[in-house]
Amino acid sequence: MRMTVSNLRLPRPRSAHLLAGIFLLILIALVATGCIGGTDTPQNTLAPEGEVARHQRNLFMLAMWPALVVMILVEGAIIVTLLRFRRRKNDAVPKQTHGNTPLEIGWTIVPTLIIIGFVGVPMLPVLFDLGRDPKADAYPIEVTGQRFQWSFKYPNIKDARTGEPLESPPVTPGRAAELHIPAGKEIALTLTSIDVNHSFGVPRLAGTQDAIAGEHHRFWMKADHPGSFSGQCRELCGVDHWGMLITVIAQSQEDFDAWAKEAAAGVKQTPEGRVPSAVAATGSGD
Amino acid sequence: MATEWPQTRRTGLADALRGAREMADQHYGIWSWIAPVDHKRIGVMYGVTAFIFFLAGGIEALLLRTQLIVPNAGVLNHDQYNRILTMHGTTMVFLVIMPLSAAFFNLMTPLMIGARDVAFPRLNAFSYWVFLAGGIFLNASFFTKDIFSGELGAPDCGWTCYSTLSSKAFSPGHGVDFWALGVQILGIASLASGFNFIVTILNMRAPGMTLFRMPLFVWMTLVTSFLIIFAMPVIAVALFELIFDRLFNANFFNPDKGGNPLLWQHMFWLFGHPEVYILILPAMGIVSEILPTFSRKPLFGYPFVVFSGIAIGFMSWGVWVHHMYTTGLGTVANSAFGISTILIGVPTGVKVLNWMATMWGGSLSLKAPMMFAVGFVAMFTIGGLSGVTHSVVPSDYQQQDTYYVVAHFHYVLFGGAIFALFAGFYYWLPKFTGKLLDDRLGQIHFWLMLIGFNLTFFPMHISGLLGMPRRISTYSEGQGWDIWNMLSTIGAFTIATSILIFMINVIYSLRRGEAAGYDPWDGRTLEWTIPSPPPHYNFEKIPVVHARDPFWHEKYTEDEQGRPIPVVAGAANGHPDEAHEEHGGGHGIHMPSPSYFPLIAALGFPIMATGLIYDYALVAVGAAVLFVGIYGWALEPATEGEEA
Repeated sequence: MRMTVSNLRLPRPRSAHLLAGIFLLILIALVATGCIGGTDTPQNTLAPEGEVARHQRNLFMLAMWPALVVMILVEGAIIVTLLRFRRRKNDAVPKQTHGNTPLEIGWTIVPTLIIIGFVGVPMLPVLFDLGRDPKADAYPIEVTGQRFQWSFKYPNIKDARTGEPLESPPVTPGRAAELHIPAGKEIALTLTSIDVNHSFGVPRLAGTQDAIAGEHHRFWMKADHPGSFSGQCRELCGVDHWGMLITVIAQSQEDFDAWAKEAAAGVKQTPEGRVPSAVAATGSGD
Repeated sequence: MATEWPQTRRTGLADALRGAREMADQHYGIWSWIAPVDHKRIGVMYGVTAFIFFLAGGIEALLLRTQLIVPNAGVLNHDQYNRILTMHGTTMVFLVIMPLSAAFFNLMTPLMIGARDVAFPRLNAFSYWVFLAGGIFLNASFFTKDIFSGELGAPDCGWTCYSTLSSKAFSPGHGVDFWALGVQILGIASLASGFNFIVTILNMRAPGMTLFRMPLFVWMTLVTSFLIIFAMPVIAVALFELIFDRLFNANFFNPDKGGNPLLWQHMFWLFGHPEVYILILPAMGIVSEILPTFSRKPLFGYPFVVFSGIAIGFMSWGVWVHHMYTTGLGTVANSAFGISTILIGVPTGVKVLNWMATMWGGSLSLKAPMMFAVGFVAMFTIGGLSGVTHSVVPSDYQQQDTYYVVAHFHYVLFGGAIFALFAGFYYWLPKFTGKLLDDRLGQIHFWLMLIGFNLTFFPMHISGLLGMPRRISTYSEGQGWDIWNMLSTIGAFTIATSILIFMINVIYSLRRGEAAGYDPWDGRTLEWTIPSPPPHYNFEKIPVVHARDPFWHEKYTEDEQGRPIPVVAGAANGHPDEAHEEHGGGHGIHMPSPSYFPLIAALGFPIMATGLIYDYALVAVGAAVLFVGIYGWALEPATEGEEA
């Protein structure tokens, strides 16, 4: 930028050190933020345990790191500018620079290319993969949201008592509804709601997808290995929205088959679902 | 002219009203506040009212944050939480940021374009009264249940009020009725003011002020006004459908009868995304005035900043689906809107780079207005970047409806809009009070607010990435969210403290602030050429504009090397050919007469809305009041003098 070179001045040392220190602290905080992927909290969106969530984490990192770099550059440049060009006694009125057209065309086009190239293009194949129809051999499950619990229907398991497909037992707000899935196998979920909008969020497997009355929203997910994964409703659905919890229990094929057999026979069903932790009801709104 | 009164036929009520109008015309007494037409008076009324709503919305925010300070807290019950949450969002969007922007449109637009008032002064008053009526109506919902036993009657559907949660079946009571009708009323106010400012800016610029000599703030007012007149009808239709569903059992959004709840989301966000830019473009305009003034340099790349603002205005219509990525619209829709959302970051980025280039090489005075403006650039950038990260569709499936989104839009709307609006307060308030705000208190306010803001909202990125859903009234321990929520709550109270300091500053400076004079900041635009506070006619003589930054060019010229040098004292005032013209102290300047009919007309709307909820007979009463207001308004003489 030709208008600047002539009037470069160095910042005063002491305040420069102070600001550099603050800047460094911000940097450390940011790096710490970047590392939260390593922590093992139940709904950590950056600690994937399934294929869908892993794709999502990778794409997020692809966007977040350049964003962090840009942020550090911009914030740093603002601080340097404030120090370097702070008004001092006997400052002359600066030259009235009105702009620099090539420079500005450049900083319109270059970011467009970068952002499309680095973020837009890599996004598309993942988007189409996550958005495809579930494979024909995927394990089907119908998920229904209702105020204030989730229920799961297994078309492939026949309830011995009713002859109908097996359904998960009702739970009360604050207790998680259990969804059993075979690990390592693609699951085909069909989401709907019988009342208001809900959103089925299980971050470590697949993020969230909405359950809307009148819609049948299909998507797929897959758990890498057996384990138990927490989630909850993400869309405000009323007074007990806070307590519409989910636990996805992924089991090896043998364990899953064994569970399905017992559940179909009507044994070992937990009527209240699993209590993930003591969520105390805070007053009553209903 | 306007103050000559016929001394005959003065009797009874008409006499009293005429007397009152006379008082209002002379700018004293209560009537001058009831029948205002002066854009500056209306601007102050907008600002004060919106600030009071800001305090209400802030207290709501503190209640929410207090409930979330630790897991399983019992400060609010779930029902109260959802209602206060809804009112916090609705208040901050419709009753704070929009009207605070409107306050600056009112205060500054005529002054910056060298006009004596807006094009339609009484319509302007009407906008204000309708806004006030809508705001009070919306908040009246709190009292539709037994508030003293802790039952709030406010809406509980979130500020987005998604269908089918907003239906009578799932939100019984009158809260959502008040919400839908209240927002509808506020839309009328916005529409009226949108048209008013478009006409004002296009038609009332001083001679020589071409579009490309307009101050950036005026440009952004123009773009925002166009967005308002196109966006408000969209939400109006959606709200009418919601009102019909609730009051008359229509089925627009009822899936059981062939309606579609997703239709609401499409219409809401088709309005809602332009709305985001309605909230932020005025802020960008304010900052684009302050940075050049305090850098003593013109805005870098004026045409790029103007065109990027216009580009944002157009593109804002093509990104609404990014609020709906997870609703299952399909991969093609999601890809298209994903790309358009990524691209809308570009014009915003251009603006940030231009602002930085404006400061680079300048002589930066770091007074409070400048600090807030720089704070805007710094914080808004973070909000913009986090916005780019969740424009990426698959990765947004993770962040949708988590605190990451809450962090993002607060960086844009608080770190962006609110910081810029405070910058505007510190910059322009002295023009209207005649007193400078205290700079040391201003600096304390700034630093406390900056720290409090980041302490509140930066941790929300992390709690969001750790999967914490937004809008939950409580959460269990063991999720890794505890510490981040604790920090957010501490930050919220830090912000509250900084707002208290601002209020102390305003009161202190009104009583014993330093006199501002004409031009306290070495300003560049026309508002600094007139006294503080300005006379009610603004400009004794309508200025003739010869350049962008007209006042700067009156004060500075350039030497042979192109370096600016001050014009010799005395030569700055007026041009030689104007010197002989008479100065009449404002006498003989034709100004519109005050009118209380806009107030009467505005009162009709809340009466009609109340009638729709409780008793249809009141609808007729409200319509009659509206009719009387408009009828009297239409037949009112433009100035009293012409009546005789």
